[in-house]
Amino acid sequence: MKTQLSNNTLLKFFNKELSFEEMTRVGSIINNSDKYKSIINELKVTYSLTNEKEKLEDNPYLHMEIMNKITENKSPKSSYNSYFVQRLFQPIMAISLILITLYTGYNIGNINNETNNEFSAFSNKSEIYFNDLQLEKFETILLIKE
Amino acid sequence: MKDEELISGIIDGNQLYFKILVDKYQSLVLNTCFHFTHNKNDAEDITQEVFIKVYESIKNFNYQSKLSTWLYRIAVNKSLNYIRDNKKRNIFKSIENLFNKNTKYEQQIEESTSIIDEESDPIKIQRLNILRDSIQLLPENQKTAFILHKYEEISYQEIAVIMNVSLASVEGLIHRAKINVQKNILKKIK
Repeated sequence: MKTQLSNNTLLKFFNKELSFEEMTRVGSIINNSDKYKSIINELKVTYSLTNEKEKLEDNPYLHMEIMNKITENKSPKSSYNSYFVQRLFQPIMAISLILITLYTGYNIGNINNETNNEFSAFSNKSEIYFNDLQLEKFETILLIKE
Repeated sequence: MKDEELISGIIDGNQLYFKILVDKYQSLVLNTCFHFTHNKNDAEDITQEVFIKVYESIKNFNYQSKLSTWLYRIAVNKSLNYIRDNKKRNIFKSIENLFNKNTKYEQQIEESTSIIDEESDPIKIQRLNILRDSIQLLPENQKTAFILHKYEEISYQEIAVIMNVSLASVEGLIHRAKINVQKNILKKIK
């Protein structure tokens, strides 16, 4: 019978945080399953890499590079440019784009409303014009002719 | 030369003292930044920023902590800021990629250079990447405590000073970080 082990149980087993009975039970399940055995082994090997110290080599020219950057930063022109571009220009552009989009959208909506109003006004007028034509009279004339 | 002498020498405007300080502490700063970014070029850029900050604000150093503690604090803050900015940049890049297929190619080239190739064993590189990704997924305070403890081998007491938290908090953060890293590894290998 295959027993499923949760991640929490596997981690507690890995960190030896289970009771003696539980350790024996979970241990026997893991020993009988190739899948769990490989998972525990992979976890062990991967986590053990934290014990390996990765060290980068020193840069003998670092001091020079830092001093160059410090002198660059001191020049007013470059600091003004970077400040303007990063801190002011980009937010201003973003806000103006949003405002333009909102304004355009609002205007398009208004145009649609206006045309709707015009249509309704026109249809009202056409009714008036239709009445003004006095079609009844035409009809009477036509009837008389017949 | 003692740190106090170095600091007073730099405040007096002596460039040689600053060079000595950079040479003495560059390994500490560079490796701390590298453990946060996992990218050599980024770590070098942040290291430069850290020392520029040190040069500009060393007058304000109050001798309440060790110089190394102060350097660690600046390095951690700069690295975390860099990661935050990088996340934002990646979001913008992915939006750009939706509209422009050519930038996708450029990004692929950039990503491949960020993988360290000092290891020859491809399985080990894969495991290292899983571990690094698992650490990157941690919340900022857990990540900081874990990296300083595991890679920099700093005492809990000093980590507490660097992070400006209590000793008990550091113990809790490191324990939770360890469990979360293992959980993240497990999710990736399962």
